[in-house]
Amino acid sequence: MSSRDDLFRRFDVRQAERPTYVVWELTLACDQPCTHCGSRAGTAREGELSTDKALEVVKQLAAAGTFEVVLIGGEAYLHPGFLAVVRALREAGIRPSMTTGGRGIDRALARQMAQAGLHTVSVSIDGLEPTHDLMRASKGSFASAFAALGHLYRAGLRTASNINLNRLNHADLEPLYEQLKDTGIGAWQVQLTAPLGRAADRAAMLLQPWDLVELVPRIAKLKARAWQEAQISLQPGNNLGYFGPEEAALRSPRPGMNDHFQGCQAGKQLMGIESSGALKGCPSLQSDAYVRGSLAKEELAEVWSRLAVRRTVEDLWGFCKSCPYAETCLGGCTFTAHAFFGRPGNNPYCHYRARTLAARGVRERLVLKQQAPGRPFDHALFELVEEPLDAPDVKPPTPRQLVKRSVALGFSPSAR
Amino acid sequence: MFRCTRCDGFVPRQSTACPNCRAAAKKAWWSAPLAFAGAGLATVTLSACYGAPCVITVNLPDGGTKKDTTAFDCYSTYDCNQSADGGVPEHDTEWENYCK
Repeated sequence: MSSRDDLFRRFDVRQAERPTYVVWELTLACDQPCTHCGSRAGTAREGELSTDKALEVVKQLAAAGTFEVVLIGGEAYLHPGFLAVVRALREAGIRPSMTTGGRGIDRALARQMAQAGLHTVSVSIDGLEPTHDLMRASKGSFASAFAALGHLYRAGLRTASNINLNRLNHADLEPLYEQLKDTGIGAWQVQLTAPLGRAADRAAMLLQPWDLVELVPRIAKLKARAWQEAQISLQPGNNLGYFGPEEAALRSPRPGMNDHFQGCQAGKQLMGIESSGALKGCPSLQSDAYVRGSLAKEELAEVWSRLAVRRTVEDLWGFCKSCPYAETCLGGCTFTAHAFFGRPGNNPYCHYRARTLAARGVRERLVLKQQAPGRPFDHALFELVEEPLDAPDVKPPTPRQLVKRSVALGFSPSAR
Repeated sequence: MFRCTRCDGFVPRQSTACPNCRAAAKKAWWSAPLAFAGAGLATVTLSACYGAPCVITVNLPDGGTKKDTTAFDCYSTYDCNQSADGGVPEHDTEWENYCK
């Protein structure tokens, strides 16, 4: 291995556990009311960490051996200490990066972000303009996201994009790539919308498990194309994939490699910080079940050992329990499975599972059983219904149909 | 795990057939060292919509380019012909690593 490899965001899962990669929600304040937002962002939480306290946290992260911090929100730039935190992370030897909707990033802010030492910014773009603006519940959001990508790129920052895939937008994937490939992005992260937060209130938006039979090979094909045509590295989020024939192509950074999913790393190499200081092993984990401490009251070193999400094959259930990949996969993404059933260990969003069932002529339908209570990072409850592979499938209207309908009724697409 | 010679999927070591295509499990001669080398590696994508994977294009002083997906640096382009104050943060040590 070259001397650089130990710094690459690809690591040996057997290394000592530490919060190597941290996602830090600086504030829950947000300038867009996205319909699929897992944290139901909009208004700042009560008791969010002050700038002074946040700067103390940076020191604790450095002491814990953190390599990279991804600042999120809400919108991280709405926290008054945003640039100071970026600067402090950089000075502490931690790579500061950011994921944003980009609504408020203009030329001046992009320059300030670059000057503060931000390393990378990933702008979330969830489809072509009608779909993106619909999902973001914010007219003009698509245009501002693309404008932000341009401002950031011209400010000298490394840029990337990410998308949450669901039934409203998956048809946009290839045409969106056509628009993204000339923006200067070097990477594109693709993940599935899980029923977390506001997405849990929109069950019709969610993919059904059998959609993965066609979708995953499509993504793998697009990944190869993006790399060949534009040297854009498409990487799946941790809740996409799982041991279909395309697993290595999807999970590896480049062609010809043999990477595959290695099990949930929450609390082992990853950590999430909520804006109040609450700590969990992964930023998307459900707060009620997985927050194990708070930086507002304790030091990171005291809480870290409590954050790991550990499972064995004995903890798995449903299809996952008897899966030939169980020992390695251990039920896939924890927060995704928990978002469906209120506990992990049986993940319906699995390519291998969907293919295996399809080969038997059946599929699993996710049916909403209980609504989410309406708190940040909450979840609904679903049940799985097995049905014939060719059973009728009532799909939600497309974004264009929804936009046309709302215009016909006299509503703006941004109305919620 | 090793790779199926028919469908390219992964085959657990204890399996007698590929779970994906049912082809009989055949280990290629190189599969053991390869599997060992890759056994513990994970690519981190930081959960649902946070962060992004790494790739970099380096514009070399001789006019050529280099794509690097295993580098510690991510995204976009380093232009070795551009001075450190030409859009690249002055304290960007990665720029120095690539270009100086």
